[in-house]
Amino acid sequence: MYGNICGDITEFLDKNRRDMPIILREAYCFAAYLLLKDIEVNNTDILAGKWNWEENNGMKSPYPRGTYREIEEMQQCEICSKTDFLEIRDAIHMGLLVRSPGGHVVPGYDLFLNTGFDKTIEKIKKYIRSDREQKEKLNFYKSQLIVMKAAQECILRYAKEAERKGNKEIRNNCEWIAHKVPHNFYQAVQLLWFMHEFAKDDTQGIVISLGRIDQYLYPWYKEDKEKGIITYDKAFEIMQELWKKLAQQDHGFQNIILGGKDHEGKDVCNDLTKICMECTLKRRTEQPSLSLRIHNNMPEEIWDKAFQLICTGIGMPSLFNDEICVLAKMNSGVSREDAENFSVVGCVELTIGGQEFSHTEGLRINWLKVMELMLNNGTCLITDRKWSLKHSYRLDDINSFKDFFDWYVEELLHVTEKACIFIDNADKIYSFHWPTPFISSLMEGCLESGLDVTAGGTKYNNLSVNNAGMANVVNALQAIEDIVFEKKIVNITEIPKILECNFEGYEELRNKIVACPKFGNNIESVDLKLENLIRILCEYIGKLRCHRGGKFQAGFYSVQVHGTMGELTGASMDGRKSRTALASSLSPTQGSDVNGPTALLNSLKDLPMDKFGNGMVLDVKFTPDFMRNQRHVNAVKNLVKVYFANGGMEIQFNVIDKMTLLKAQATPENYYDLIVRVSGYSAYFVALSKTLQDEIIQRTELS
Amino acid sequence: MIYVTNIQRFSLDDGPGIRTTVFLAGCNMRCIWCHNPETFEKVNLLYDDELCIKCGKCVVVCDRGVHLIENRKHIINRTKCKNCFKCVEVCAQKALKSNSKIYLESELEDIIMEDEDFYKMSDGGVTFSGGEPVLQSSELVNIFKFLHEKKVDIVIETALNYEFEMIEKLAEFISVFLIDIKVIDRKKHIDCTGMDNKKILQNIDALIKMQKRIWIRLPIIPNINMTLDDIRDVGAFFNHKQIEHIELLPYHKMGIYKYRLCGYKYKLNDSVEVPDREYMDKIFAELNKYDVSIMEGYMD
Repeated sequence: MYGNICGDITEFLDKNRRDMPIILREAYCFAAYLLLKDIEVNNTDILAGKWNWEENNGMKSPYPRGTYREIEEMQQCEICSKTDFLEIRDAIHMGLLVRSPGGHVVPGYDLFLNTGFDKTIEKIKKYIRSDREQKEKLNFYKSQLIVMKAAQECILRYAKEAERKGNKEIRNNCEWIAHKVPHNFYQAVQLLWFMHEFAKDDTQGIVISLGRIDQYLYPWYKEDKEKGIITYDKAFEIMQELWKKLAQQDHGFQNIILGGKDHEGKDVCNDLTKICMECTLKRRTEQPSLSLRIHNNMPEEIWDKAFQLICTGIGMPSLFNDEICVLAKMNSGVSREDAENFSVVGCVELTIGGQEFSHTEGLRINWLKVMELMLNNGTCLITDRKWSLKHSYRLDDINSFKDFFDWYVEELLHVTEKACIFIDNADKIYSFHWPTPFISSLMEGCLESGLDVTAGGTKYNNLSVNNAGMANVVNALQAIEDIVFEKKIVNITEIPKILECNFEGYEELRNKIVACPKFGNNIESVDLKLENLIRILCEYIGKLRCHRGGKFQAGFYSVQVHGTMGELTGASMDGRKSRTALASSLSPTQGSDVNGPTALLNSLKDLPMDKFGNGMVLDVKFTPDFMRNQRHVNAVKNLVKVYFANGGMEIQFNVIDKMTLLKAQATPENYYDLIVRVSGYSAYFVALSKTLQDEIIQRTELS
Repeated sequence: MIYVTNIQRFSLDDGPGIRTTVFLAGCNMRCIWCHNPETFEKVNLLYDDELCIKCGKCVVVCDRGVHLIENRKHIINRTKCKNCFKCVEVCAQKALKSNSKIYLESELEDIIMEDEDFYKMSDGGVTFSGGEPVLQSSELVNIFKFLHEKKVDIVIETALNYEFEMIEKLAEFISVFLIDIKVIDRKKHIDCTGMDNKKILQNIDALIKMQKRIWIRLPIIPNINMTLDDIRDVGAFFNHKQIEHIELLPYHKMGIYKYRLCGYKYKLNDSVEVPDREYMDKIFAELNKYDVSIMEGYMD
């Protein structure tokens, strides 16, 4: 078969690639890559395998990707009209919408480890024999056979190389797992790495996460331990090798989620849960990303281990509330049983490993831009491009805050509607141009349906709508209510001019705006505005369906996009200057939460997080010496417990480094919320004198 | 009406668990090392020269001639100031501020109750500190009753420099007393705080007799209030007494800038340095010879 594939590939590469059905072309490209890529095994290696993105780049699809490319393709495929095409293109140019689609999946490594190559190939062949009639399905089955054989062959290449280098252990492992189900923990880890390496090859490095590895690897560990052929320390050593492989890619968003409950509600933490955290504790690499599922019966030992890791300042693990995450996935159309098996992909997106394909980074809406467009009759202040508003009201027709708020809601939903239609249309291109046959081979349902995962082959097929700039918008709405409609300090018709000037000449007014209540301080009027907007939005998108049959699910996290969107957004009524960052994720605007973390968590308490099917981020910052004190660590633990008991979904802790403190010293206006431990008490960093700030900076450096 | 300089939520160093610490304005002692000089007076004007842009709005609005701007220098004549704070209202830079804010009892109760869930989870509660919080005891009584009914744990940090009756009426609501002891030697106490400590030491004994939970806090200002002789005095005074522990608070300079804001002179000599570990360990070892429990981690 090796000869066969190789022959086909040579022929294929020589001929015109575009003549072949796309799914076969992608499968052959993938196979060619695996059969030709450089492999390396040294005789001291514990695990074989290497992932190299630069090398891979260009080997794959002849179609370049990217958002603009995508909308051009849409137009060519006559999926959208010229007008829609131009409007969406402008919306992306002006930073109203941002899109980075594709990938973002937790492949079903779990299922594959328990099936192995031979059985999987047998199953595919059965489908080929039984379904000869339907050409398209047949092509898909063939693609599955090609990628499986290629993967198998690639593992055997590693075996040969191991043989050549005298590494018998790797040779034996590779020869075994190229056909059969791993027969020990060591082999299971090796096979997991290979499948992950190939999955990344298939998607050109777009985010692939690993899911619940402490759960699906555990049966092998348990059996080996019972047989007496592995110890905790030996497993730790093997897992560290996996960590080294994962660390080959910086910012790879290779998320691993640990812990959680089983279907009976029993805690499932085990030795591997601890080993995974210890690997990161020892190696201190930012990859893989670690997440932890938290519930009421999680053992104290796991809490302690998690906080030991958090206290290093590495920002991991992110903590997820099991109960709310399960509800959120059920609200995205997932059955309870599957939802209870949720994982995290990328940053914080909730997904079902091996069963869900939801383009979790497929869309992000800039809430603040929506307001800018309203105030300027649909024109962007930065790029001068146009957006057609639902209602082109004249500002002097807006007579009350309620008028303005209701209008904002309508425009936000209008943008959301258009954006959802757009991403659903864009999604249609994927099966034509960028199918991922290898990922499909790891997804439940693809063989049964005979469809690639990009064509809706797997069990759950949602699309995701992420949001940015929420805190800016509610702060701006609050300022408009207070300053324009209640105190009547300024007329609404003057606002566009003031914002266009970037508050120059209006400093006193800006001070008044800054002094208005801000989200994140446990102030009802402003917190309630966010709650209302989010409820309306979630309810709206909850009713939409996408062409692959799934739902639209909301996400409230912003990765780095709040920065890029901010650069494209003019000055705003929350007092924010033009072209500066939006608030990050669900966090308050930079430096505006001055009442501490308890107030912040109270502000978030009533948000309907059980509707956040695509996840959220809440980032809380501490200085290193704050977390050195055990009483403080316990307090932070209790903070999490209260937040989760009140329905919180996610929280993560960042320990501030020296650079951040230097920035705070230079631009204090963005860091009013930064609390540092002085001596026996905590203080706001920016309120301290320069000398003391210097002392704290120095201390941070030492720790 | 309660005069408050600051409310710190998620306060972790003033009693058990997660707490809200309310710093009350006004104090009847003047410890020369105090790091919260803005709590000396109930009402006081704060001015930060680093924030002031010399716009002169305060000069215009003040009818008592407190503010003067000459050669881009802002001079404040505090003796003329009656704390009307018209200048604070017009200061867009927030260079002028009041040291305290007046709260209605119900307002303060509402703020405290916001974090009830956190107190419950962490065995925390509210701490009243200052300043000397007991100076506002008649107003505090009502708040204490309310909080007690709501089962919110109450801690008080006090220097006990007043008639015992003042704390007696609050005592039934308080779970832990954080008592600041400055120095045992009477003459030295007068030198360092401007006050005799006879009443303070009597009040401690009276509280101990009431079988209250007591945590002692000792500021350690090297060679000023806590020489080895002084720490022996402390050890001897608390030897065998029913207190839960003694906490050592090493001197720090984090509050000196606030003297500038208040317009006070910082009386402690510049040469007084933050105690190093060696000094603190010596103090600890000396105190440890007595039958008292000492809180560890004083250098963290």
